[in-house]
Amino acid sequence: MSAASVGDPSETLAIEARRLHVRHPGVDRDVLRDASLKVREGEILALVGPNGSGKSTLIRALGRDLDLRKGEVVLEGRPLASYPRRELARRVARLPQDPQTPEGLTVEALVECGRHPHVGAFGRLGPRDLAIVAEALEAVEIAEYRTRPLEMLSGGERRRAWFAMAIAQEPKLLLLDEPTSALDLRHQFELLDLLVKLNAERGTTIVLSIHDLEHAAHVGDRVAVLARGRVYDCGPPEQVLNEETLLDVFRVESRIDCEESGLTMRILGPGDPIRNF
Amino acid sequence: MNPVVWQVRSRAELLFEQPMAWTVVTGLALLAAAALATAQGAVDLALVQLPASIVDVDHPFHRVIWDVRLPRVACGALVGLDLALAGALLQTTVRNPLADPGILGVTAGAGVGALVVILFLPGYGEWVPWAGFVGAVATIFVLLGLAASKDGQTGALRIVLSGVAVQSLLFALISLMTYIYADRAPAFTAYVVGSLNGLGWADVQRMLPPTLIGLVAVVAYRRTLNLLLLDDSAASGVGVPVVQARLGAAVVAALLTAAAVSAAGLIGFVGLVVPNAIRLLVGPEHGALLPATALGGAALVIFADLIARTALSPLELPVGALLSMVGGPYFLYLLWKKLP
Repeated sequence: MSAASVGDPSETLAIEARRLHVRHPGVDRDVLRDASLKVREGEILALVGPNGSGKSTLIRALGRDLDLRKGEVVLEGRPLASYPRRELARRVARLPQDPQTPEGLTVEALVECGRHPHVGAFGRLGPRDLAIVAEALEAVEIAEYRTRPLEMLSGGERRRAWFAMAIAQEPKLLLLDEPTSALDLRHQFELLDLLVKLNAERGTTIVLSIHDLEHAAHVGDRVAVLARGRVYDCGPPEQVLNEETLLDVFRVESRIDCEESGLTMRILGPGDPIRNF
Repeated sequence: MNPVVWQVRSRAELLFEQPMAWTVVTGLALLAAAALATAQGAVDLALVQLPASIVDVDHPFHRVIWDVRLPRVACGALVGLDLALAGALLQTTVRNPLADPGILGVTAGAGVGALVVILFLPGYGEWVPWAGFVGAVATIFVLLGLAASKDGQTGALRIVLSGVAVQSLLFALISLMTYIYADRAPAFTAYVVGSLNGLGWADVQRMLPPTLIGLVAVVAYRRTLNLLLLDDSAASGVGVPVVQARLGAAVVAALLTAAAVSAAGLIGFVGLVVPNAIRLLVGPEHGALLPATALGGAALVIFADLIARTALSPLELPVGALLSMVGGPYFLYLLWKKLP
């Protein structure tokens, strides 16, 4: 599993979006217009794109959090719509961008919610569930805060608590909507490292939307660029994140160097000396 | 940092980490309220004599204790437990601390249902709580329909205002029914304000089945209720059928409310005050919140009723009026604090 995920993602598809048209409830306009995407099993796929290009909407559609107007999502070869709720939750975990934190709920209680799809009708957690919860708390390094109410945590810690809930869900596919937004630089890196670790150790397929292109290149096995409600390009970061795409999609000029150590990106902002070359 | 402040804080945190401790505290409060209320009344009994008077058939107070005081204390306990739990369930259902069976008009809905049986089916006393249940469920469903805004979220103010509107309509129905059928209707004031005056074992018997069903449901689903604290998207993400679960919790709240109303009329604010106070102490997780809420609600109503019948003795006040004197200001405080 993990051997396939490193370098050579297997060709089996974890999830596939086929020609999606999606709009938000009460809005009379499609955000996704004919968006198609193939996510391979065991890979990390980073979605990038300007504001309003449909990143969050695509993530939510893949997690069955929005109704499709047209098109189809296929999870492990079966239509996403055909999965019973709990069976779906055992396979797919999603982390919303800015989840409301219930007042007074403790970190541990939140993470325990992640076990819900695995336990019986009355929600009783067994010893194995409790061990998985403890492990998830350890993995994101917030075990010492487990009895604290969520609102007493910092933004970064709270984000990690939600992340621990998703880990406790033991999904095969994890969908994250801008997991690094509103985090400081160090916490952004910590979170991305956690994703890489989760992917390497458990072979969890990860789809995340992210604004920072260098982070996308750093964390993603592949990068999908969204523009105006469809997938503009999708492939390895060094192929997809090129100067033309950045100009065309993001309307910024850039210089990009591809080296063995990774991608060096220089976005040319206003007043940049080499901008007028 | 001031060491004294630090000490207080850490002790509070310690209690927070042992939320079940509050179940014991509220349980003791219930025992104390029940003992006091059984001993005190038109004729007072020393607390030390209480066990003897209950057990000893020849004790001079034996009859009074068994025929008058104990059933009334039991009624108070059930009414308090039912309403407090119903309040906690409704607050989770609509994700709003201002929810209360009284404020949302659910008690009034149960009151209309119960009145129909009281007025038109006089021989069927045991049907009163179930007719109340029908009225309460109908009220909740109308309310959730009214209060659900377009994006599916339920605004805090919207649901309270809808409740007020529904409630005034139901109150009008109750006053019309009691006015037209004055010969067989319960006294309007006592019914609408809520009172435990003159209740006996028959009322306990009538309240028990719906209360027990409600309790079993609450105990069985206490963990699922925690998931409703998450927002809808997060809850359905871990496999919770959000709409069904919320409606289910609302139906149980309606059942518990109807049980209380069938005996005591429209007592208000127990479901607001008790769960909110307990939530401050133990947090929102239902495994700790619900037992302490149930016991605390029972203790509160028994204690309030003790004051209601002894403060201006021999005049017996309706206990609902006393509870509203506490609950009304508390509701204003919550409104002021929780609304932007």
